[in-house]
Formats: sequence, structure tokens, C-alpha cells
Amino acid sequence: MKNTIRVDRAILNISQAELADRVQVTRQTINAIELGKYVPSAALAMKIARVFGKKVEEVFELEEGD
Amino acid sequence: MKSNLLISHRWKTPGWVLTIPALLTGLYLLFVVQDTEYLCVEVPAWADTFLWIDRFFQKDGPFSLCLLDEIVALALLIGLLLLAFSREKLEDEYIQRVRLESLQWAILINAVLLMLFTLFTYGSPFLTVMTFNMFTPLLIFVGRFYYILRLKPLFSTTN
Repeated sequence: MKNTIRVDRAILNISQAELADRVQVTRQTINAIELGKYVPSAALAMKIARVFGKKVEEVFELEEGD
Repeated sequence: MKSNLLISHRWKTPGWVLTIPALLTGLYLLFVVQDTEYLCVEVPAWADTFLWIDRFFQKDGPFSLCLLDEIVALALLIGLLLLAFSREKLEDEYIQRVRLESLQWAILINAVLLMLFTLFTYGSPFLTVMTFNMFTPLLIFVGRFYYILRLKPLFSTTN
């Protein structure tokens, strides 16, 4: 899965730590998701999208092979 | 995510306090002094009813037990268990996955090492292998878990 979290964070001007705080996970988790090393659960993906005021599909996108 | 086997985050510090000295003492006893005959106590004869012990030299009467290696082994096992089973400050879903992966790594590496040492070690050195094998599953688990969560993020640039 690809995601636009890094870009969306830049638009809102919030750090990984701030985003992590808002969705109640660790900063390592946000970092792992941004690097594409971890695919979040549906619940966490929806929480992240809600912070950016977007739909889940606008932040997360399936890739070839998913 | 509920994980009922985990204990409070506060146990991390006691875990490190037990693990590090016990590990260093254990390695020192095994490789430097190559002897564990310390803290020996005299035990009354009736105690062997409760112990699984060979009494080659003294069939009767009181006998002696050396307790330093027992203390070191128990301290290391308890310390490693505290480190392995204490919750992270914020135990989220990614940490749960790192936990599971680390457990899988630990079991796999331990089994592969054990197979290699079974093939290439004979006689009394195999006892040393077994001594290590008492601790390797927990050691590999703790090493991998803390490497991924604490050390690896230091090397990768973020933000």
C-alpha cells in the first residue's frame, strides 16, 4: 500500500510525533507506515485519514501486487 | 489491542538491572574463571530428598551446594522475562507486530543454531552449548525487539 501521509503532514505542518499523538500510537508506528514498512489496521487508517479531513482511499492506495 | 500476558511498563528498569549484571557475571564465570564453585553452603543430609543431585563422593552426611551459578541463572531468566513481557509505554498495533516477529525470529534462530551445534559439537563442549541454550530464545527475542524499536530508528533519518 502507498500512502500520502508525509505530504498530508507537510500540508497541516505537523510532525510525526504530533500525528502519532493525535491517533494514539507511537512515533515509530507513523514512521514505519510512512516508509511503507507497516500497513496499519483499518481502524488506524481511518483515524489517520480523519486527522487530515480526508477519506481513507485518498490517503491510502493499493499498489500492484497488494 | 488487549494482550493479557503483558505486565506493567514499570518492570523495564528492574529487568535491565537484573539482566545486565547477570549476563556479564555469567559470561565471566563461564569463560574467564571457568569455575562456578562460589557461595558454597553446607546442606544437611536429609535435604537430598528434595533435590535431584548426584552424590558421587559423599554418599552420607551433609553435603555442599554452590549457589552462585543458580543465582546468576535465575537473575538472568527473571530479568529477561521482565524485559520480554513488560508493556511498552504505548503498546500499539505496530509494536504488537514487532513483538510477534521478534518471537518468530528468536525461535527460528535458536533452532538453527541448535541444529548446527548438534552437528558440530561433541562431548563436554555440548554442555556449554546447552548452558547457552537455556537463555538464547529470550536473549534473541529481547535483542531483536529492542533493536527494532529503540536502536534502528536512531540510524534512519526521519522528519
